[in-house]
Amino acid sequence: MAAFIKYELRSDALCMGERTKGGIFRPCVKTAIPYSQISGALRKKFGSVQIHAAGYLAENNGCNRTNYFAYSPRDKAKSISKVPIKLEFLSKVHGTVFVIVNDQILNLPERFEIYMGALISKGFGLCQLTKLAVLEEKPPIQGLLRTRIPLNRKEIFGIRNVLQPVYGYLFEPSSPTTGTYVLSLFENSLVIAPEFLIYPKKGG
Amino acid sequence: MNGLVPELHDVLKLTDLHHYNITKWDKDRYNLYSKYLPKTETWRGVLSHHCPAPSWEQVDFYPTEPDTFFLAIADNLASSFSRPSAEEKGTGIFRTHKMWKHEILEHTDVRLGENKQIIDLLQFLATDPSWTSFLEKYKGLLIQRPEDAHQGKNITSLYTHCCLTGQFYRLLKGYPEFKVVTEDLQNKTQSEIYKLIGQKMSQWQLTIVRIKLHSFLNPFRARDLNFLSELEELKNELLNAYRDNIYFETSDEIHLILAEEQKISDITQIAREKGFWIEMVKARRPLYEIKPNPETMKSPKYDNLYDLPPQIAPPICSLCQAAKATKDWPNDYILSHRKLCSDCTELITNNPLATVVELLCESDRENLQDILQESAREELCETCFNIRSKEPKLPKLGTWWYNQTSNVAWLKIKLNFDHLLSTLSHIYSSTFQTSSPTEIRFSVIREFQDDYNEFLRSIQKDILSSFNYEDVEVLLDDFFCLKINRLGESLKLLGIYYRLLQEFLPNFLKITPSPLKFTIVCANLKFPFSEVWRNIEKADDDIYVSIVNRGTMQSTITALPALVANSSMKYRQSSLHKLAKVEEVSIKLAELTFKDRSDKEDFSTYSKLDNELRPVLDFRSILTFTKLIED
Repeated sequence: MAAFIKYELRSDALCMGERTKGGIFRPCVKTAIPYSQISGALRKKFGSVQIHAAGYLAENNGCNRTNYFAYSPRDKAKSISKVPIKLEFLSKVHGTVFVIVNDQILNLPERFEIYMGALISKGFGLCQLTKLAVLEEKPPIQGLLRTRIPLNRKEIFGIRNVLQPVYGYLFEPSSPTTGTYVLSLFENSLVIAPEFLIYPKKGG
Repeated sequence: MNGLVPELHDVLKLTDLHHYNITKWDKDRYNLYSKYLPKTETWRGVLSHHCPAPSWEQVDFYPTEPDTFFLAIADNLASSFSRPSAEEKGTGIFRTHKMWKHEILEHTDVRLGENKQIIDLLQFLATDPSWTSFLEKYKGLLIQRPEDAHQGKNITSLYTHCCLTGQFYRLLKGYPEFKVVTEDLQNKTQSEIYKLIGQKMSQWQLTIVRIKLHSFLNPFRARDLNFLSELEELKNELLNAYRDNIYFETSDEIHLILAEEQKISDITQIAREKGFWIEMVKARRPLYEIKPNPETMKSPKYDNLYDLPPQIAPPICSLCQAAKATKDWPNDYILSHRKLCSDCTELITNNPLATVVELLCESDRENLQDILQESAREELCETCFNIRSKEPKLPKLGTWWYNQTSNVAWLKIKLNFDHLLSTLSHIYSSTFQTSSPTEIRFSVIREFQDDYNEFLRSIQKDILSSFNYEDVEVLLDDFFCLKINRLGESLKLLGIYYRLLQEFLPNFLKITPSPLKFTIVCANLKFPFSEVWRNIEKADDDIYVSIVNRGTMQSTITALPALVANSSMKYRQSSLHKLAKVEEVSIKLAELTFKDRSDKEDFSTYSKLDNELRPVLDFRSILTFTKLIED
């Protein structure tokens, strides 16, 4: 199992959109920081495709509050406004991110900023990451997954066994303009995984 | 000819005669009845389905044919107590005592004892009736008479036991790997058959499976709630296809006993086609070890059954996120479901609806009025498209939607199966003063099913009569949506719940955690249903009331009487309103205000609330409760 660097994530306003959309309503992810979101943001910041990370949002009261933002996207080519949409976002965001240690990220700074999620041009998505610890390898235990990780990446996160999966899809880009949706483990999958990625449960 | 009807194996329990050993009948009565004794396969089952340990009782008839052999095992599995522990003597109590109800004090013997009654029964049995035709005449009696009349064992009706025996019988007999032939049984002593039954019960294995049906679709619009009708259809399809396998069900859970595990894949396939995935826990054990809860059996296995591809090329379905989107909503819907003039058809074929609304002819614009109100474009997969395209089966909800109704209360009653078993075990132990936990078997669960269904039907009836009929939408047997003008109206539901619990399941009011979870979510009708549903799924308190974005109230079932009493008490509205407003700024400030003595009238209101509710609610829940009674 690889070692991980644990970062604290804070943001004033963050909109990590769910794939599921309801016409004019766009829900956001409220519990996890999916692999696709955080790895994409870190890769964009540091320019390395070998960065793999995932995390989750804190559950304590007072942070990660749900808010709504009405927004009317504009079609510049036709010079018309589209139907206004209502976006969910989180404010006072507090979360934890785990980055897999490899040769290319040994020198990640102690503190840095990234942009993640949607509506960055509207002032959303600025996140501060602060290094908290380097986590040593420990035997995995049984519990419920707290994040979203593509199935084909589960081994690098030390997920040894998937006992009861909760599946969904995450977007995996293959170029700046193309990509595909890959089958992924979502929160509450029953897995045998590193302790920090799970809630201990069901005989764990 | 009906062959051996397994449900009728205990038919003599309806009488005051010995129910399987006719040699123990009083001689005079035997002489009187003997000429009426049936000569049917079912009668053979009645007389020879018992094979007690020879050390306990020697019998003249015992299973010597495969059908009676299967019947003996089925009878054992369907009993409310394992047979050896039921070997008690004493006065019988011939009324069923349901553990969730108050104990019956009056013990009337309901059995048939008069000669005419018994002769009538024997003559009827001689006509070789089917189970259905037998029920037409004797169902009432079967329901009243317990399967086992010993004190403390009279907890399931003979009716339930007979139904379950029929199910087990067909299950065992129909599985080719459970093989027993006449040669194995004939010319064998009672002792040898007794041992063979024990041997087969250790050898043969059954799988106990609990499945929960989850929709892939995340509903956002009123039409998406069609998934609930799909859920109902799917459940009914499974109930019909696996009638003999199912021993308990709720609106989204099915509990089955399977001989062949292959059936799980078949069920997954049926569910997948309708847009559902399955959360499952199962355990396969010898017949001796099977229990209604697979989680308490040895080596339970958990799994979620999906059947999904490893990759999906964009676009992905906006509603289910589990399939490629191949349909364009609403254009494809309009083209396939509405008749338009050729010009408008061409417009819609080539352009997103929102961009051509003004260009449609007046008649077609009128025709599409309902769709035009939801003009956002969505990419959907075939399954979600078909669900959304169906005519809404919840017409009132659609009307409220278009009439801009503001608030609705979603009410869901959930049943926690683990809590049900622990509650029943607890009630049994305290009622009959047993020292060790009582094992709850299949028959008790089946017995509960009928009363639970009756309870839900009464909830529905009461809600429909207490609210304006036009303001109630029944989504499922245990799921309702009510149009409310004031949040406080939702408290009426607590009153209904309390009254019907007292009537149908009074013993559940004393024990926490309760097997029943009563959840109300109050929200604006346009608040995304997927979020409401997530709230409902997450709630695990006995009583959970959420006012979206304004607070939640969580309490145990034992608090219900206090909540109901307080919801009709008079409180000073301005004080409640003040408290709610202060809480919007800070909950800590609200707590200080709650204890502040500077305003006597406010303080008197708050201290009254504190006295009444503090013992059963935390401060946040009290605040939510005040918002409900204040509105």
